[in-house]
Amino acid sequence: MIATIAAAAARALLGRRRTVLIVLFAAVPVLVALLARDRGPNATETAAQLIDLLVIRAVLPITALVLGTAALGSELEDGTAIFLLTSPVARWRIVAAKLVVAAGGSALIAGGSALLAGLVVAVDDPSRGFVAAAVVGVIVGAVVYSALFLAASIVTSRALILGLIYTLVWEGTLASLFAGTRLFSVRQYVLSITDAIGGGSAHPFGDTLDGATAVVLAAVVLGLGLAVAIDRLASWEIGPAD
Amino acid sequence: MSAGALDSIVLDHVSRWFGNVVAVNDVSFTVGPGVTGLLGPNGAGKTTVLSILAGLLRPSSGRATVEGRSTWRDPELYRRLGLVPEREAVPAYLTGEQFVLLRARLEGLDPGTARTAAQRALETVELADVGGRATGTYSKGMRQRAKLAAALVHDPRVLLLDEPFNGLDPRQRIHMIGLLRRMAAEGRTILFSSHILEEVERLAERILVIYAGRLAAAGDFREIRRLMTDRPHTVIVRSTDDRRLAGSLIVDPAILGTELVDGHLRVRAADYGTLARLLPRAARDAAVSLHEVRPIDESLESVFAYLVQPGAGR
Amino acid sequence: MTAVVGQGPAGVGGSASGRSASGSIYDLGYRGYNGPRLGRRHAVAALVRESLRTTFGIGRGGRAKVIPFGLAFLVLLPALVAVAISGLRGQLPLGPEGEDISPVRYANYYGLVAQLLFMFAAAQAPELVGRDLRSAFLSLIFARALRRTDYVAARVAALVVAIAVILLLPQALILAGHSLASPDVLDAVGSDLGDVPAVVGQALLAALLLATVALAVASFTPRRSYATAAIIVAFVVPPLVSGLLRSLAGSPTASRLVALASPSDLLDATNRWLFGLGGPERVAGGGPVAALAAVAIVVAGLAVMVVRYRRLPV
Repeated sequence: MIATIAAAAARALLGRRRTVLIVLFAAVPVLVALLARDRGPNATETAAQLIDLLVIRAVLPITALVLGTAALGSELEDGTAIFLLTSPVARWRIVAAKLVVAAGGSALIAGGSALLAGLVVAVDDPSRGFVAAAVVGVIVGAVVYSALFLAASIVTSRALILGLIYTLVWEGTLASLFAGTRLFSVRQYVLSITDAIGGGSAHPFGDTLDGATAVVLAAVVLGLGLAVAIDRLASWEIGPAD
Repeated sequence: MSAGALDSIVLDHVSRWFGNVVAVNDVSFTVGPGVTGLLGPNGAGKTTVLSILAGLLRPSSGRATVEGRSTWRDPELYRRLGLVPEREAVPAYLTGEQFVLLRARLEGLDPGTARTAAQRALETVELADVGGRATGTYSKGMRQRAKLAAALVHDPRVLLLDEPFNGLDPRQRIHMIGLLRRMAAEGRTILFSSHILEEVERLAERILVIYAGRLAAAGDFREIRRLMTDRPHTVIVRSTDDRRLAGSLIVDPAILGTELVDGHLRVRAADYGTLARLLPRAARDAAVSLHEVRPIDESLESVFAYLVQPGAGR
Repeated sequence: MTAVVGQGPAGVGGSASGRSASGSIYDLGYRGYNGPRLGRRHAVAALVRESLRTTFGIGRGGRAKVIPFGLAFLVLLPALVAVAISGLRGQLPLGPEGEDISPVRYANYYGLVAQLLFMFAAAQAPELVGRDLRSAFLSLIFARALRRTDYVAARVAALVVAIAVILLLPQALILAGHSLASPDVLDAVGSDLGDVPAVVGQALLAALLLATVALAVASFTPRRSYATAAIIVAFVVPPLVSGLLRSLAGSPTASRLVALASPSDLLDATNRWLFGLGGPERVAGGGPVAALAAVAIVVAGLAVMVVRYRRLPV
């Protein structure tokens, strides 16, 4: 059942012009990587900066935003979700199916972007190890972001802009001002997990959370996102008739 | 419908408001097997009532149940219930077959059964030959029928239809009326909404009249008419001498008025019972033979028009 | 009620157009308007007014106001902090160094709130032009005195004004706070006045550039979320690219050239130039060229929009 819904969702979500645009966007880090190759102080530092600025701060959240809010949100907004919701499928299965597609797509695109861009600049072994760690971190980020934005899209029709404010203001500006907000920032989890797996002694991302803490927090946020999504979907109401 | 039978649909003092707007105002009714029409002008609350019954809206107060179980937050409801919504469009890129098949699978039918059920549903609504085309290319009537096929595919016991005749041409309307009648004869409970009196008159065994969020009347429409004693009943009478008959009738205070129009006589009386007693007697007294006696405002139209007047009924 | 296209004088009540022995029919339907008509200028002004209301969600219920007013408030926040500091300065035991303790000044105000402005533009530009693309509204507008260029000008003007106001208000607040908190008000005002041209210049450039780019992008898709995402990408990603080219790739020339196409970098450069801040040039040609490039992008954006709306089949 999940597979059926996921297949339909994949067709609706990914088989569109927007996917081409997202993939083009995800290619930008790779292009910049080609220019940055062999130019930085050391390969790991180069890879870290490249992936941090272009993938973790841009491609990853924006891809997860677009796919996560559209997976269920576009159907809820245009009304075609009725045909899905008036079926005896358990709400958690619906959420799971949609999440698989959104998170899978985001992980593939953002992870692929990190991988390809990273491989271009990773000319020595430590940097390759770092890139592999970054891909893992990005995939984790894709799953958690997608779950959060999927839940948000059920609660409000403005999930995309709110998600943007979250990533730009909360995870960006505020995190640099108030260190405590790092605990509630998915970006921090991604950076911390990457650093824990492949950061080595260099710690190119600076002061991040402890790896285990980040994993636990990410799992908690993921669980909360799923719980909210399932509950809100079960209580979803059609808008007032014209 | 006896109160003891397992009524399929029960609304118990259900209200629903959106902010300051009360869309449904303390509505209670029960619906059993057969065809019931939910009649009302646009904005009366018909879609809201159907949405509540379909589990898409939560009642602000009161309880809505289908086959004894509450409609809210119960996905299992959809095994027994099918909904044909008015507004919601079918995803345009799916073909008719794909859409109905997807619905069948969502309803829990295994792949083999789903295929045959989808085929059967498409044939029932006469879409089998265009099933391979994307629904975006369908006409409005075809989309309507596709939605109906999707709602029938799992053989539901309860069927809710919101303005099902929208966009259907007369032949399709007749076909759908026949289809719904057949399904009702199989013991299903069918509740459909409409603001077109003609269709409700033709199809519904029982009507629920909803106006400005309130239930204005429930039951067989002729019964409702009879119950409205404060409006006079009008009857057309053709006889051998209308003038003399009129003179004979008007004497009795229960006769409110007579009118000679176009070769016949119109008699207004406070209620049928009185008229039924007085007419033969007046005819005999006037030595007049009656050729035709026919009530002229029994149609749903006049019932409806009367009910939606301000100050009507309760 | 019959609906007859009449030519009655404006403002006169219904006329009896049919009479019979038992009643009259009043023509209360459509009546033509032959009174004075305000011209194109008024139409444009009305559209600008409506656009301003849409930009701030006025007239659309509470939820529509949350994001624009919320972001506007966040932009105001640093100014509130600065005013508080000005006010408290007298209480704090600071010497003459305390004069410049406030981290919030005119020179860095734009930089502090730039991302919020990006989000305002990204959130509200789709609201301004997206709905019209989806509905038939455009065919209604263009059937009247309004030309396509007028429509574009009105929408752009409204968003420019909105962003300029959002950016100027806090700085005006800082001026007020700073002046009123100091013992010699006129002297304080005078010393701040020198910054006013730069403040206003930067605000205008920022408003023009952000509004035009955002609306140009948004005019290509009726779907709000795609437009927002695309606008944010246009603002947020190019500076990352140019920054990386500068630091990682060590190719400052490429970085400076990319910055010419990056609204965000251009506005940083003009800010530095207008306020006379030093620092390495990040944009090829420095501040003045950046300003020219910004103007060029504005012109290009307007041209793109005009062509787009001219080509639209309405």
